[in-house]
Amino acid sequence: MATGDVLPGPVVEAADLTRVYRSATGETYALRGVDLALLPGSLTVVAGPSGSGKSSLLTLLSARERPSAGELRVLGGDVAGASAALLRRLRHRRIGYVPQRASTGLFPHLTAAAHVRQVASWRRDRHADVDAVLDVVGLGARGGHRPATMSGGEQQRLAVAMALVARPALVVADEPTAELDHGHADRVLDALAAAADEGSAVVVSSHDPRVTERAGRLLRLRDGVLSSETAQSRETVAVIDNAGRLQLPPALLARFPSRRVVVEADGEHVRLRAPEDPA
Amino acid sequence: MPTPHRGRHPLWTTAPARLLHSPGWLVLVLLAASLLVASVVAPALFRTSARTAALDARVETAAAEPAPGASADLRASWVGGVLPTPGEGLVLERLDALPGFGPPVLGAAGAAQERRLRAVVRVGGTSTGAALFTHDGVVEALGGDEDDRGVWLPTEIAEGLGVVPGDRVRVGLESVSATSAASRYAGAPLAGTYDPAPGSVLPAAVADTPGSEDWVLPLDPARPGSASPLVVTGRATFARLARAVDEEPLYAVDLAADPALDPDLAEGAVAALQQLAVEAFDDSTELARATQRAVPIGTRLELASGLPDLVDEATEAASSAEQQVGPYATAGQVLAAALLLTAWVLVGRSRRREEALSAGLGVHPAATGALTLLELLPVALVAVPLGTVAAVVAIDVAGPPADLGLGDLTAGDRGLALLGGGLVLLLPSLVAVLAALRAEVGGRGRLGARVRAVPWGPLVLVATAVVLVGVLSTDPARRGGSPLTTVLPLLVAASAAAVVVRLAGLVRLPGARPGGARWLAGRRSAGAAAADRGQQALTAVLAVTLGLFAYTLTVHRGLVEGADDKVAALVGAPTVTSFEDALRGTGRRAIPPPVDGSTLVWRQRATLPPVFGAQQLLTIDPPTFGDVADWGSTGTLAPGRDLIDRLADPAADGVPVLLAGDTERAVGDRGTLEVNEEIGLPYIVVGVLPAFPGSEARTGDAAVVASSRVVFPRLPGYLDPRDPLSVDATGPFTAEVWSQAAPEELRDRLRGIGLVPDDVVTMAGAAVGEGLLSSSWAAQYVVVLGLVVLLLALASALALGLRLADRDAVSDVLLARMGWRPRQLAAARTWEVVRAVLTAGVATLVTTAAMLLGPSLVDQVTSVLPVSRPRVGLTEVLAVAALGVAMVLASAGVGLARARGRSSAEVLRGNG
Repeated sequence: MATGDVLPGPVVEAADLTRVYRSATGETYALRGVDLALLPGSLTVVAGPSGSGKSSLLTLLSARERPSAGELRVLGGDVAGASAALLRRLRHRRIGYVPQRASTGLFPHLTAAAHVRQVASWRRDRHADVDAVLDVVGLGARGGHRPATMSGGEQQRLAVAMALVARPALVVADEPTAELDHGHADRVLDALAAAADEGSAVVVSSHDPRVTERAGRLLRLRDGVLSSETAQSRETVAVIDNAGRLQLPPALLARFPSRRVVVEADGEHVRLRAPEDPA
Repeated sequence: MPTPHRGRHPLWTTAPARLLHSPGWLVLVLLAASLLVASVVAPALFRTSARTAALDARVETAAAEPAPGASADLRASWVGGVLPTPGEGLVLERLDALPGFGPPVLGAAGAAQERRLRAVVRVGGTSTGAALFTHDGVVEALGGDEDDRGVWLPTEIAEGLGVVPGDRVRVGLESVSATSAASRYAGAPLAGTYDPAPGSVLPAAVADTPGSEDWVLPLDPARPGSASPLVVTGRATFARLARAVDEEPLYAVDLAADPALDPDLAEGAVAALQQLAVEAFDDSTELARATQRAVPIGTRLELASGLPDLVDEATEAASSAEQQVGPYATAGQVLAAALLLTAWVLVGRSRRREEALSAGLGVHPAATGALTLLELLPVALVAVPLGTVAAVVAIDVAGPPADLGLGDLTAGDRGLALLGGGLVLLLPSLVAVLAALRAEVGGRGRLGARVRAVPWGPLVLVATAVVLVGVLSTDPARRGGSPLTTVLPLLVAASAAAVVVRLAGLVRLPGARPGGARWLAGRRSAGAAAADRGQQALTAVLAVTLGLFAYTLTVHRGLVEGADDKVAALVGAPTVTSFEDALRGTGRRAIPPPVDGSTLVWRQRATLPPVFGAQQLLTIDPPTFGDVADWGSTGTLAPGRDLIDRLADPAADGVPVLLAGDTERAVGDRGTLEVNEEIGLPYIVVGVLPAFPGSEARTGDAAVVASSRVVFPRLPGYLDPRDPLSVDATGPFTAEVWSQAAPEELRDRLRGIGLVPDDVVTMAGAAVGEGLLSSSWAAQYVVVLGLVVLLLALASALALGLRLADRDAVSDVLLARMGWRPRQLAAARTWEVVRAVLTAGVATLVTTAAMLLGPSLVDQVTSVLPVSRPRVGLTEVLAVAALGVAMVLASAGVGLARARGRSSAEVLRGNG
């Protein structure tokens, strides 16, 4: 059985997801109350400026860290309360992860082919075609090379290949095209889209318009809060979180220079206007 | 081209060869692993070596002792009868089969002559005194052969009897008076004549044979202490003639101890000796029955050898050595383990991203540990033999003076080496598991949680105080073996490091030009001092390792020189011969030293009321004492030498005395010295010393040192050793001749003037007996320990260099773009390293001062004064300074290499 068999419900469910990083100088809120659900077969892109919390969100979704508050269920497991062994099993067999910096996702003493072979072994895919997996990301001829002899882009693609081996149920990729040229970026995106088509829930963070254009669903994060969501219909909706807070897209935000808003209910509609504007 | 598929678990299959891709780490880890194996094996090898060396030393010193049966050689003897040939063969066969001894050499002499019977050789009606004698090899030396049926007579006797070789003579026992027992003779041809050596009855041809002074000779009852002239025969002829005349000979079979005697062989020899001795007196054994068949009267085989005592003493000395080395051995193992752990932590630091990757891929920490174990398997396979060889070489070079080779390894040693190999696998694997656990999910940044740093500094200070109190409350005699004592130097070094590193952070060095390397170093240090606890910790580790290195050097010097002092206090001079009451003067005049280069010391019991209990009174000869006595190495005993002249101060009101050892008296105190509980002498204390040459011969109380030239004239005649007739029933003065000559030389010279010492004590022998030799071996072990600490210090320096280079990776790139040259950046980091090492140096000063001035933790022979304590000399200072320089070079060098190996693009991309 491939590890990515389609689940009946959401692969990821998050409610009021909060992540705080502590340091000697204080606490930093990376995520504040994010609500989210990822379905099998979806390709979701998380976009947002640097520091908006993209990487923090993806780290949580890949069950690498536990949330500081809120709920997070990944592949049926409660990440906050699950045992370390359960989370380890999820990461080992069912979650593919592409780190933001490619070299941090590779073993320096293994060849590219050995990386793929090892991950396939962990995911119990005895029949994985290593060459085919490497071909998908354009590394068919580099299977015998170690990371030190590969370029940053090649390392990045190898990390993507590892994440896709054996079609995991959830693929989390943190800026997978950041170091790639157009051709290779398209190849990687094709591979990620193919994984989604085969039933994996794929979530990708990126600034790259090439990536956001291909998203089935585009989530925008700002200051740790999910500000808007654009579905395949291309209709952008703002997100109201559990506390009733609403983030406006930047273009709309400019209409409220005083950062104050009058909310008016008008029949079935709710209207927002600046206080200085006439009613 | 399709990629070849080799195995489904490449992470596992490539693990064993993984370190080959990082030769630098491989060398460091292999070195640390080998040291760990060596530290595990070394104590057992030390034990073997100490046993061998102690036995060698005891055998050597016993050989010089005059007491019969003191040496390791064996003398088997029987007296009163001649064994039948098969019986004699059996005895010799059994003796020859004894392990640990050379071939038996038989000698015998007639012993039947007494006041009524005289051993004679007779020709016609003329008799002259001469007794039967045989010894293996003598007949051959006189030109005959063992089976020769004739006898050899001194030339003078043969001429007196008018016989020449070929003539028949009669030998036998002749009645001295008519009422005496009947005379009996037996005839034998005169095989030859010989000239005795001057002053001896032995033929000149054999008189110089080693050991000939101990051959059994027929003693002349008419002239006590002198031997009869010898009728030399072969062994069979001796037996035939002895049987014929009913001689009651004394047989002695000498077996020299095997020069290659080792402890196991010696123990085997002792066991076999004891078995043989039991059989000799068990009439159910063939051996006892054989000796019982001797004629004219049955006899018993008696065995005399000092070997059992020597083995016991050597075992005791080895145990003492083992005990003394124990704490250092443990410390060595801990440090070697720390070095390996440090090395693996450094390796781990270079693999942090990989740890995160493994955690992210859900690799189980146990699997990470197993991968590490697999990775280290080749290292362990090499480290086991390498470490074992290193331990053998280290113990052979720096341990007790016994030739130790790989052939001396026992199964136990090999087992320990394997145990060391197991630790090599286990310890880093544990580190890897812990690192993997830490890299795993866990941190959740719980809301409201506060970051609390562990207050290591105060904790270390408190622990140091607690342990110090524990050590001080431990009996000094048992302090050496206490685990608290072992850990205290480490805690003191850690406390000094904690305090000094904290204070160093407050120090701002002025004078750095803005924009220069020193300025940059200062800026970076100032920032790091506040934020980088890791860098502070590494500086503290540098300080601890440097402090411990200095401590090992001072301990080494302290132990070696302290042992010299103690031996000097125990014995007094390289060779001391004692005479119970055999040495007396010729009148009421000062007695001069009997031989050149010696001095006379007299011992007597004394009390210093109101303190009761006997103390020892050493009366010395001030003019000759200073040059002959040994004054130790540390200078602790030296003040005594300057005070000797004051002992002979004629203006003093009373007997001027020095007090050596534990005493509450002070200079200027007066009182009455009771000599031998009989005579009261007023005294005045002119000096109080921790120890004096010979003052610890009978350890315990303070020794009273006075001049014989002042004391003796104040004694009554019966107690005054100058009086040839002085006899004191309750205990005479014991005379000792102290000399710097070798024991054999001194004994020969004393014999030359007719003095036969009752006892000979050497400094070397006393060192063995009192466990002081072991102290010097322990000192050598400390040197090896110091080398491990040195490596640990260098490893810490490397870690610091890497950490600084990693910290500066990004800022170096940015500064380079701002115009800073690589050399300036390297120089700035070197300044930081210099500052760290200087900080460590100051902490080392504090540590060393504390350990030198505090209570001694290193004295393992507390029963003998003076107390051994760590000592410092120029060599130690230079060695620590050299290590400091090496640390700077290593740290700066590795930092430079790390910085040069980075590309600025990778650094800025975050992969640097």
